Amino acid sequence: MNEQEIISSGLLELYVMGNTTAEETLNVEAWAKLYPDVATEIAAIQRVMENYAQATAITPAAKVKENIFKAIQTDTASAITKNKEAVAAKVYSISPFWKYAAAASIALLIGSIIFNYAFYNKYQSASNDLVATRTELQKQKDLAESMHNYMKITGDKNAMSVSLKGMPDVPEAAARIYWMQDSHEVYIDPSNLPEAPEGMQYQFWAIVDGKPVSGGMINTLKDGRVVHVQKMKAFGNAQAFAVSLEKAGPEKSAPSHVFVMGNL
Amino acid sequence: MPEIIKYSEEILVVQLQSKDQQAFSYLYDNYSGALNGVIYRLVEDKELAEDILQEAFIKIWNNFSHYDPGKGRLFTWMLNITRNLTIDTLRSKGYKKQSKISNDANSVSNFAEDNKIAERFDAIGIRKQLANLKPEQRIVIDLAYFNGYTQDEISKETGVPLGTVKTRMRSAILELRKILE
Repeated sequence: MNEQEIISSGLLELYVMGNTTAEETLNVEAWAKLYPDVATEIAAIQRVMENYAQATAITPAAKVKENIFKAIQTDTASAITKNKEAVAAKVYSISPFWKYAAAASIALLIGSIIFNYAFYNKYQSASNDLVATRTELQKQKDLAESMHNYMKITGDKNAMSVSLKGMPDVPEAAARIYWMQDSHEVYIDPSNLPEAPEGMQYQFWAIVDGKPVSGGMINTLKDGRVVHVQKMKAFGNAQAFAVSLEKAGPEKSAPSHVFVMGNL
Repeated sequence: MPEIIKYSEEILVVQLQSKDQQAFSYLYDNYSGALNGVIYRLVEDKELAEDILQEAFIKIWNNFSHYDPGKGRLFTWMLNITRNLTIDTLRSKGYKKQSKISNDANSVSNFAEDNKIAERFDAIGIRKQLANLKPEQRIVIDLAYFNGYTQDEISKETGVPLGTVKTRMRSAILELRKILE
């Protein structure tokens, strides 16, 4: 079969559903290695099924995540060593030549094993280092970029900083707005807002002519790190800014629980 | 769906291989609901489903080095672990759910009922679009993907000939692609 025939055969669908025979599975896996289009098609079908599973998702209770993280924290895998009983061996006499030959080949074998082992370890640690270095580099790059953005915005000569103070029921909450007087762009530093509970997200608002206008949802975390500056929607002439806590998801049309507020 | 943090699957895999807990937390946030939905569908017991989910994620963390990205997407691998664990648990606890289904001649209508139970927990609106899927297509997909049935088992379960199961599966997935891709 050629690529197109494989793709339209219906086998890939069955493969993703775990419904192929052992032989068909081997074939499909071989084709996927051989033809990039087949591999792409399999991934596409898997993604569709993944979306289907997401559409039927049921959010588990918050304690499940806590329990899992507790478990992986305390997990100390102990290696089990099995004692093998020694079996008494029969003794045969062997001519001296073979004794030396055997000794020499064993010595060679041991030497080779040590040599291989040393090289394998070197290779292993080098490849581990590489992965770790790549990950670390990406983290540092992201961090540098976000710091750079932060400095650029907060240091802009047109930036007007407005601090948003916590409402009486959440006095510890705070946030800061950088309003660009020239372009009217609005940036928010949400890092002093309390962590949003699961399933909740902060939404940004401007008060324009006495009415709240949504400025978009706020991301407090990105790649596991606290966000220090995020660009929001621009407003022509706002009198005040506010942040409210909402259900995560699309923007709401009116704020339900205002956390912080400040006048321009 | 939480769209706040976006890892590409490759980066996520590298980080999980190096036992990065933050990446694991992301993994949990993104996939726990879907996997929990799969388990719940099989056990129909909220508490038991969450126990199995917990065990599944610990297994995913401990066995991550066994995941081979060349063999498919991460979710597919996690789903297999979760489904096998669920089926093992059901067997060890002597649950009769599976035989209950197969003994039932009217299993088609029963499955429609089951789906309604899960619908109450629906967080996303996509489910409504899934109504475009014919019930007989839906059952074939659900039995294969969520319950891990073979074509033979599906054929026996639904009373549909084997050849029809095959064509129905394909047409169902094509339909799903239109809706979900």
